[in-house]
Amino acid sequence: MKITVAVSGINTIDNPGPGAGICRALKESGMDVRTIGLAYDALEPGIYLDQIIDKSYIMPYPSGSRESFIDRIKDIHSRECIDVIISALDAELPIYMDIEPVLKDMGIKMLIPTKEMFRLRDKLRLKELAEKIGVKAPEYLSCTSLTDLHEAAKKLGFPLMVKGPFYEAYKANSIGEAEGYFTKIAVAWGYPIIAQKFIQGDEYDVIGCGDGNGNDMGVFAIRKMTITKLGKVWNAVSVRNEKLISATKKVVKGLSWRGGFEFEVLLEDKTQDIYVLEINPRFPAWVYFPAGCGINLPARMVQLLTGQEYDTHSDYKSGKLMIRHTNELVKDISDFEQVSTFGESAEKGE
Amino acid sequence: MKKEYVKPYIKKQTAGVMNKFGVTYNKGHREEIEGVPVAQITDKFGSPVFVLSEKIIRERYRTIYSYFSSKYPKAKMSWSYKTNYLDAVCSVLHQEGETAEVVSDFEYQKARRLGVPGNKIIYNGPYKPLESIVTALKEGAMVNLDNFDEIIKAEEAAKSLGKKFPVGIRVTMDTGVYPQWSRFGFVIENGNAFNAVKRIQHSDYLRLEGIHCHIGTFMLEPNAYKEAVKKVVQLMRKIEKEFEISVSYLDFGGGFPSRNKLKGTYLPPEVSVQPVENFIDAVADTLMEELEPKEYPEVYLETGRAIVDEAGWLITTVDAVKRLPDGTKSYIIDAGVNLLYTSAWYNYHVEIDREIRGAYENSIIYGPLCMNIDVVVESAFLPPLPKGTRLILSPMGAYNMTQWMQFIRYRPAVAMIMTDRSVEQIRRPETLQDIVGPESVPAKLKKFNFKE
Amino acid sequence: MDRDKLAVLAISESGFIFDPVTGHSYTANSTGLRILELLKDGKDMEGVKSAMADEYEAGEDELSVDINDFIENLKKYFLL
Repeated sequence: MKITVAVSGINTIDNPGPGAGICRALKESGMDVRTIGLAYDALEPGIYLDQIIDKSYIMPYPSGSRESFIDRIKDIHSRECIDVIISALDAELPIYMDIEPVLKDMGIKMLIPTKEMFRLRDKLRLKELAEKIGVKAPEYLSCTSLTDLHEAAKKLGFPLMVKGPFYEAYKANSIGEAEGYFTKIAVAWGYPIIAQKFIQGDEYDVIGCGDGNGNDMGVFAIRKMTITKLGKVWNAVSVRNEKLISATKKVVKGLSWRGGFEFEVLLEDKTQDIYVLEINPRFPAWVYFPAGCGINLPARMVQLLTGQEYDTHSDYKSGKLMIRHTNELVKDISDFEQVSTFGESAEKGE
Repeated sequence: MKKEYVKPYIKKQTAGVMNKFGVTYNKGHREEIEGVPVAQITDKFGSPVFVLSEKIIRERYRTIYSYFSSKYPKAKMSWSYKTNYLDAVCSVLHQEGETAEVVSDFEYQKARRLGVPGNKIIYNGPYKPLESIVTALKEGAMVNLDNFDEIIKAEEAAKSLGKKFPVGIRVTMDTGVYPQWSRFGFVIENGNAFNAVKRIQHSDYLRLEGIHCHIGTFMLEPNAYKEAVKKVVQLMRKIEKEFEISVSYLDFGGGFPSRNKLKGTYLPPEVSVQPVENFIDAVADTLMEELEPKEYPEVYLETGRAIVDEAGWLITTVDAVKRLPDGTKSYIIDAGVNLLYTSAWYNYHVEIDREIRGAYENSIIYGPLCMNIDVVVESAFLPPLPKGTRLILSPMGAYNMTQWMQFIRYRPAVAMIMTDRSVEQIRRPETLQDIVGPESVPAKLKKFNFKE
Repeated sequence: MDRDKLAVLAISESGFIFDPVTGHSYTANSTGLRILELLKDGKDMEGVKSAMADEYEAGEDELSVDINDFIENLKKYFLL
């Protein structure tokens, strides 16, 4: 049985989306999968990764209208007969949550959080979430103006973390820096912007997937070894920290989490207390790393959605290393012409 | 045979906006509003013209009221005059059973003139002239007091009428939303609200009847209302116990959003704005959780925008097409920001009245005022519009027809599409006499002669 | 008008235009492509207009506004 899976977030750029990693994990799963890339720009590298993404289409931005978004999916579906969509970008998730029933009627399945779950992991409600799963949350204030930011800085002190509503987080050491980041984020993503107290410690990430009934489909934890200027993990090592894993399982159980997620935490140096920084309601960009270590969550998700058997174990070794690297492809301007003029890549030879 | 002509374009491809599939926000076109052709409306009333739909106003009201009353037994709704106080709009809602919620003596008089009895008026706001309080108390209106000076003023008004009157207080609290509207009413958390009640109960002329709050505007988070209900009910209990009185009404104001795209938000409003039911759930469910059946007070909502905003449009016409020196396409239309107070915070939905082929590009829509600030829509993705194209901007029903300004031009007609699809003029276009009527010129300024 | 820059453009029927000298790329529609061709052939504005009027269902006034706008755009992109 050939399964067609459409995946977004195939922008493997310096702030990478998880799409290409998801496709690679699916291709290496042993299932017969056709991968469709859903891109927002003709230069998203995934479009040109012929080995792992079979065909790509350009999508209308999620900030546009709901109708044009649905129309485009219908159009692609009429040609591709999509079985599953894996949405991998925060900014588009609300629209997918909204149209999931429409997609279901079309025969397209998704495993994504409900609106209520999505709201619970809203950055503005971290405290509530932390209480629910028995961990701590760093103090934070939401700001919609520079005045708010100044007040937040007075209260929380420096260094101060300045975070966007969807993406981007910066450590500011002075009010000038904080203002700079604030403006930068506001221009790109709007409000509210979160000012968060800085806590000295190490950052850990756990990837997981929930079936929506409180059962976890596997988890995998890493310590971030190096991160990029945008705060994205670049190199990482797998760890087995039982405290962390049990907190993650509480997330899945307590919220009856549905879909992939990334649980970002900080272990404070002094106390080793877990501080929840964020729950990203989709797979992270490093989703291939666990797949390479035997925890293939995208494959498990597709198997669940298409009624197949799937593993749920979290048996992996600590001390596996993820080395991310950059690479250059050589293409022709006509490949770009094809995508930018027709909104889709050329069919790739089998 | 000649080929069909499409306006020519050439566009440089730049990273980030590299595809024509990328933005299709204003795709398609709209030839009619609620079954009435756009051309029929403009033929009759000219351009620009505001259009309201009786049917949608009634439907929106009924949806909200029936949902609210199905969840809470003593549900009441009062029409927020400031949102849209055109007589016809108020009449539709009064026919539906809404009382009037006013925030000034002008609005109070307008409601009375329309035939609303005093005891069907809620009088709110931070400034109420003494005489207006006297009238309101005498006529049996619900007066919600905002500050200590106003308590004293109300006491004076009541004293002059020689009788004890029921009043309400407006309260404010932290509901977890920013910015907090702390300038209106008495603060609950620091005991200020309690002290206000104490002051009222000690008066020979006033007694406390109800509590009012209004936590903000265009609220996107229903949970804030949960907080508000919890805190107000707590306050009510405390007051009832301390002063052995019974509070007969609670008023949670308005602030529910409409599907208008706020500037500075990323997602489309269909997705980012939660349905109004979620807000009512927050109020009604929390009330049911917090209250015992025997203590159910009347609970008011003063929903304005969520009822009328999406029932309004502005039809306007492209008068000129211009390419700015930086290459940006721009259009000059016949309606400006003087008519569109809400353009300051909304990115309106822009529709065109006909199918136009050609490349879409980001365009600026300017109003006709000779002022740099007259930008109606900062960025709309539009095909090349020829002069004369009608643009239909929406949602328009809330605040524009009350906050509009007469500036260098007359305010245009407002038409209402009735439920039977007939179209009625509910406000005629202004004339010179409307504007100069109140003016007078001192005798010695009356004559002037220009030199040849 | 200096037509040297127009002469080197690689124009595809799809409307995709690549400038091999600057590396910029552009998209144009069919009428846009036609105007480019006419300009490349050395026609001036009047010449472009009358050729377009012969080929397309369009009034002279509309054509002059649109062609002027198109040429302004080319200048903005430093193609003219």
